Amino acid sequence: MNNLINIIPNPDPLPVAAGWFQFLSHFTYYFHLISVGIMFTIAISMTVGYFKGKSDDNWLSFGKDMAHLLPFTIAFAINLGVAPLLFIQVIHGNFFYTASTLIGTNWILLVVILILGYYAAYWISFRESGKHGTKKYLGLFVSIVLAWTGFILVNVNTLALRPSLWKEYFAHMGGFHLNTGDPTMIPRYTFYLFLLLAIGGLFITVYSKFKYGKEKSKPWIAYGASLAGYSCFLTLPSFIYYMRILPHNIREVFLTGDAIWTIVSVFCFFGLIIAGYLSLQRRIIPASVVMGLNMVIFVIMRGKVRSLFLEPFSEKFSIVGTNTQYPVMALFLVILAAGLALIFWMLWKTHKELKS
Amino acid sequence: MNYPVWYIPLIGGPLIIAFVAIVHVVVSHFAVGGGLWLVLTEKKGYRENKDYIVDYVKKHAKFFLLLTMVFSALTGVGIWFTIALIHPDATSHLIHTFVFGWAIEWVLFVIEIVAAFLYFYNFGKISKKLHLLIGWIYFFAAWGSLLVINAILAFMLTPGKWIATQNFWDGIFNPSYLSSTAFRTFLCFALAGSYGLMTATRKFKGEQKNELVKYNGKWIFWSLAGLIPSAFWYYSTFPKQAMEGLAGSSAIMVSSLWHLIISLGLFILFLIFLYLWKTNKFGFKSSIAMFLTIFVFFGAFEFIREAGRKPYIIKDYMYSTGIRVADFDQIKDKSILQNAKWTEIKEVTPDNAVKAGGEIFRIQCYVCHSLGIKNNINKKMADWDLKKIKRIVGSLKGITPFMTEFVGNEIEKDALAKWFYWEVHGELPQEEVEEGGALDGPALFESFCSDCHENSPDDPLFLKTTNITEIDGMMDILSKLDELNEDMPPFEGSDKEKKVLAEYIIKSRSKK
Repeated sequence: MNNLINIIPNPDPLPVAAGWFQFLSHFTYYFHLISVGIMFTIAISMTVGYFKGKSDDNWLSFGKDMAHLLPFTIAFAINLGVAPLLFIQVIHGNFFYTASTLIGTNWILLVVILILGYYAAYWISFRESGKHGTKKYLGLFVSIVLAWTGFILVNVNTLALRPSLWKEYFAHMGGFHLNTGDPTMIPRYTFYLFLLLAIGGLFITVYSKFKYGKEKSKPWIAYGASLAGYSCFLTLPSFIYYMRILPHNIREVFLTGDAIWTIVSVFCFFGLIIAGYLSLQRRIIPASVVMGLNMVIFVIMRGKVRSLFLEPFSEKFSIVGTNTQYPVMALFLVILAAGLALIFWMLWKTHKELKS
Repeated sequence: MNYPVWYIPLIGGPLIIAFVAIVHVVVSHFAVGGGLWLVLTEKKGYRENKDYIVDYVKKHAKFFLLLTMVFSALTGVGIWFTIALIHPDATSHLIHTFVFGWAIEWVLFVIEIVAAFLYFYNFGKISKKLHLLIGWIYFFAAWGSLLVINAILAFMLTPGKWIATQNFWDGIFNPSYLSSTAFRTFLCFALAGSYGLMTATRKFKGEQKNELVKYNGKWIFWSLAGLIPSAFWYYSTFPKQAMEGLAGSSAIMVSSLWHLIISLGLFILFLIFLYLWKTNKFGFKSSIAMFLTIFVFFGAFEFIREAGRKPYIIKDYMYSTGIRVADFDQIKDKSILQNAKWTEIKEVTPDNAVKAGGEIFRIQCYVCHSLGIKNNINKKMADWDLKKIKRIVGSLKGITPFMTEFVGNEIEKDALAKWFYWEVHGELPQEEVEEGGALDGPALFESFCSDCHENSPDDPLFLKTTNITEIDGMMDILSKLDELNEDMPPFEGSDKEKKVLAEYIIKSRSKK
């Protein structure tokens, strides 16, 4: 353990108490996760739409609709990811930077790949009358790019929790390492994939309901609800497996060791079952509410898993420095509130004019 | 020393940072200036009742959206990732010190994105007034984000009072903040005009093209009218050492300055060509060429700014190596391998000296030097013997003010020198030659003096020692070089070498 402590970089001091950053990190991550779920599912649905659209005009039209939405969702998913990434670098930057260095080349290539995927999404979106053949394969490409992005992010996030795996640096200084040797990595990733599809599936149901009207929306509500429902159920094996292979001391906290966290993990597990069941029943609003609440629990639980993993290295956690910045944080919160108000005002005003 | 770094020595970290940073800034500054260009040009279209101008703005807005939303946004993330891989200590420090600055910038980004989408996708669908208002909101959010990020960039060059107070606002309102903000703002507008030229010459022909070319020319003209004075203002706020670098003490800064002057000159020539002389001949290819000149200008400026703070990554606070100035004196003579967290070798032994030297290179030199494309250290050392390499490693600060002193003990210094020699020659020199082979004057002169002195009667070395004719006297001079001139490193050779070199200098002078 001493050896591990020695290689963990020394942290920089925090400008305000760590709890603020924990809150901001969780709060912004919640919205990031939802936006990523919507983006990923739209990319997949668009691709399915173009593949099925060869013989079915309804699917083709649905695929086009998804294609139109995709660039917005990519923009928001990326942008909403910046804030949690920033706040986590403040709390655990010394763990995060080290992990990202270990996978450095893959980490940087992610930017290049995302640029290509993003442009491909715009190309599909702007080509109203292009060949569907090209669009479906480009859609596939975009979907793979987004799935790969998630894979790399899970790599870096799991590696950041495992200083015991960092000695791999000396074998991969060029940054070609991936954290596939970590048994928690794959179940965590597959859990995310299905969770994202569940979130996005519910979005499609809500979107279709408002966009297509009562009759025309039926097949797409059915599609979205089934996708959400089955995806919820498919998260469960990954959830169980992930729990099973967590280190014993961490698993214990969630399985009877600590009453509150046991309740939280039970809520998370059954929340997914209930959301899945309600989705399959096509009770969209209750399913979305349960899913939304469950996501809050999930984000908090994820934070707890991280803190338990890093607990043995707590002497390397950032602490508040002598120069605190509470007034600057207050300014940020005011600007955030004003910015959100301005955004809602722009959306409301535009919507009003478009309607009139 | 604190963090591992992404180690790709054949390319080198600085080259990757430079590449990502330059392509990012050229587009991200357009994202600011282009915002103002869109609203003002759209207003012009309405005011003059010219539909083709409004149509032009709409087409330009699509190009703008594709370039800024995708490329600018993602290369912005890319530069964040890249600096964290190459300069993790500095990145961590900047994130912790200015986290709420970054967070405010993020809010502004979100506003930018929403405004940009609403602006582009609702062209002609909502009232002109609301459309223009959304355009203004976009511009002010984008300019606001420039105000924040530029504060942090300026801070790295001139932290000012922050060094003493560590106060957030002292860091933001640092000595070069206002001047650099003015400079970058005008650069944003000049870029907006340049991009405007590209879309105008691509989409239009005849009189309409000429009119739009002249319109964009005006943008560039007025931008330059602000850019050039603000460049001098910015220069006046540079640290003294950066000014000296531009005046000649830094080869990279002087070379970048020439690139900057020539590219600006060409840019102005293009402007004269399009605006005063032959507007109708100014086509898409000319606009691309003009854009390339401002691209080079911008790149050269960024090189000057980056080089201007060397050997620091944050001036007067943290060296490029990630070592804080406050810690430097405490560790400079101690073992770097013992102090560094990310090294497999903790102690140099006769068996591992070369490998340990490689580790020291990675920890201490790689942040600025590569073994391949950029700032290739091997090329510099191709003709040096081991003694010269050792001497250079031992007197880095004396060679150029843009390098920090070697951190580490004498054994590590030797190990690094051996590793350099081994990198260049693929083997180490014969031990006996190193220890006591025949010494010759020209080789010693080359090894100890030739970095700064020429074997010429006009060189100060010969001019200032004309009255010293005895070998002992010359040896005495060699013994106190650093006392005679603080810019000179102490003589680090053996007494025998000192004697041979003293004899050689006296003999050379008498021949001349």
